[in-house]
Amino acid sequence: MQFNTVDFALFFPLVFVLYWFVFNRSIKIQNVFLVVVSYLFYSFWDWRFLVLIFLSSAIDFIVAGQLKTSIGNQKKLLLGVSIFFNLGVLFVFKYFNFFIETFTEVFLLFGRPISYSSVQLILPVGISFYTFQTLSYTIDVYRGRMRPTNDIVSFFAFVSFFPQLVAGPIERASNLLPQFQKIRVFNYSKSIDGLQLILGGLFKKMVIADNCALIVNNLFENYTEYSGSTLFCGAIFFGFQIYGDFSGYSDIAIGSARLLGFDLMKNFNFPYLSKNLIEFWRRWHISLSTWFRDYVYIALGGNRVSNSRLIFNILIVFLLSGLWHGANLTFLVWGLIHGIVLICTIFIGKYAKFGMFLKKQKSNVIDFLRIGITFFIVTIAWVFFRAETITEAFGYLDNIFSLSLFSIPKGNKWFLLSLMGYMMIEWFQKNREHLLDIRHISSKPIRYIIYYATVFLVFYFGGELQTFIYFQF
Amino acid sequence: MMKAFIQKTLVFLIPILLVWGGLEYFYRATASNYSYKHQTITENYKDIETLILGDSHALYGINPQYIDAKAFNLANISQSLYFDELLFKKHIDSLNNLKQLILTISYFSLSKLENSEESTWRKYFYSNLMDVDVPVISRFDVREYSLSLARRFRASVEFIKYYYENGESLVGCDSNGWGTLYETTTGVSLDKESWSTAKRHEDFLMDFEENITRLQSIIEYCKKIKCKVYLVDMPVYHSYISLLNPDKFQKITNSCNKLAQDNVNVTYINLRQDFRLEDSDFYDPDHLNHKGAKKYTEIINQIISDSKNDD
Repeated sequence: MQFNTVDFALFFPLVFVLYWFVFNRSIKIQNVFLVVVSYLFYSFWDWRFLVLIFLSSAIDFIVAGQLKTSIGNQKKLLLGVSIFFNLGVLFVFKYFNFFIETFTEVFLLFGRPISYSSVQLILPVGISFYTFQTLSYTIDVYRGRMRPTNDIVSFFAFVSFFPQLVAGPIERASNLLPQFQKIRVFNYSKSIDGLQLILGGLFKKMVIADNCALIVNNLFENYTEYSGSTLFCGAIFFGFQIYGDFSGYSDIAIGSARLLGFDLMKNFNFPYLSKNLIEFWRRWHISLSTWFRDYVYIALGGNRVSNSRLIFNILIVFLLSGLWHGANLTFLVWGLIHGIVLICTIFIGKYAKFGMFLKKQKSNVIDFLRIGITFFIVTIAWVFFRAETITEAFGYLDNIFSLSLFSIPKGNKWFLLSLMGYMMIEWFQKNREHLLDIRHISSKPIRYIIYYATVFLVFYFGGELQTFIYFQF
Repeated sequence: MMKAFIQKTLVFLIPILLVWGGLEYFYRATASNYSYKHQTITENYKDIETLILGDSHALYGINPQYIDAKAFNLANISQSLYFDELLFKKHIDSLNNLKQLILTISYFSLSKLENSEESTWRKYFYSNLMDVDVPVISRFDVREYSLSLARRFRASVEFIKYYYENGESLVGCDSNGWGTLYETTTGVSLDKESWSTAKRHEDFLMDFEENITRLQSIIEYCKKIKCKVYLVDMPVYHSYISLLNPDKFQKITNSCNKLAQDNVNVTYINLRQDFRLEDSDFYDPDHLNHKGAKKYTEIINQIISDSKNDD
């Protein structure tokens, strides 16, 4: 079940009413209800994969419980079991074919052909999200950062919580799990905020992302037929598509959770207004970047290491981040580009006088320039993210950086201008919580005009229904 | 707090619910090709001797007026063989005088999936307005109960606009079911339009098995009631053909020829690149206009008469 469907528009209000009015007698009953509706929500895709969520939850609940009383090697072994199971499942469903094919190609390169048979497995929706979420729990318990819970229902509800089950935010047990263990009280202001988030999320997904998708699909499929300028616009459109798609999903997830009395972590914070790539990664897919920061980057030594080690740590994190998105070389290259540019940004900031100078400047013109450069780099990297193969990505870029880059682009210029207009709105909202955070507007009629205008735009300009991109990860 | 929240939310939703209700009423109360054809065919069951099924190529290209035996055109835009079969099975037992069935085969007909993108909203209209039992619709699918939810809002607004422009009617066919909207041409160059049409029609699918089974099932039933089946490959513009996969065209021809060879009641009429075609016969690269429809319906009618004489 997708958030942008009529099914969800009926499902959620029903859950809301039952949750607050029928199953509100105790937290336990409410949590059992949340587990049931979360499993039901997931079963709309494929009920068979509920087994994986159940097993993942059960193993981590048992492992964390045992970690409490174990020491030394036994403790390490238990953590190993959790990591082995979670990453094992992820490997089998997501990466098995990729590695087998890569190994075969490498052997072939050295003149030693080997035969293999690939297994056609369906990728369970949201597997990368919930495995990382549940894994963070056992790691935190292992590290002694949190105590394991004895409440199996709240733990199962934490892993399968339907608003963020299939595409995040990847929650930390330390933030979300305790919320399942205390009484939830309906909060009017938070609920209004939740509705604003849902409406803003639907706008981002249905108006921005789905309309961009139609243009992007055509351009990437037929990139040899278009000019460099048109293809560059196509890359920009993809940047907006993935942003609208993923941040839209996150907004709806956070908004829905808020209506049920939960606070999920912020996942996007106007990332295209970032002035450099370091800032971009503090604003883009925050739950994943902080996950890698806490469980990989810091484990590797973080930034309190030598320069060469720092470079190595950053590259490892970004390569893993690329691989997390999918079993394809294109994602690895995407991660590598971000890693390399981020390293350059760090070192320019650290050593070059120009970097120091930039840091001290407080001019809007320089800010816009820096935002533009960051956006340009991110856009070029998106080409690798979107392309089906490395060859296609290089072919696309090759066509962009040709003389035709300076021609007038073909296609819907009005839509491109509208996206620029949308960025202006983000600029004005950049210090607010989210796109539709308009509580500061004192005039009620103006607020309502904005709400109804957004509803109208969602219904009228909503593109063809497209699956959320991040479901495939 | 909760009470105020629910009250305010409901008040906010009232205009949206009113629009939804209005659209729903519009879809249910206004006659469209679907409801009009359903009503007309049921009223004329005993007179109909020729039934025409297929997609828009049949809807606009075969005018029952020029067929000797009383004919009715039950084709619709983007009607796949899946829906052809459902409609055929729904009406066949009531069509007591049926002598011949004309079914158009387009580039995508044999490869089209039963739940293709184009039929996502149409299936609810077949179910609700043509009283067809569509197995691919789940009982839990809310769009089965609300037609306004089945279509995108913008499409509904355009539909209402069309309703007023068309003299407060959504019906775009005559009393024989023939589509009357494609009078002359779109005004765009046929060569230019061929590219976008071919691109839209290319599905890269070559598996015909399911649709051949559907055709075979229709043919078998027709055999039992001594009804002849004419598979017609309608004329299309040469540039359109040149932009599509020649292997697929060949496979379509071979499949239809095989059906004709294997079944005595089947005749394959391939007019795809007919020598009598003129540019002025086309509305666009893959649809005939009024002139083309008259010309080719007469040709089809002649072939049918000749085949009867041969028998």
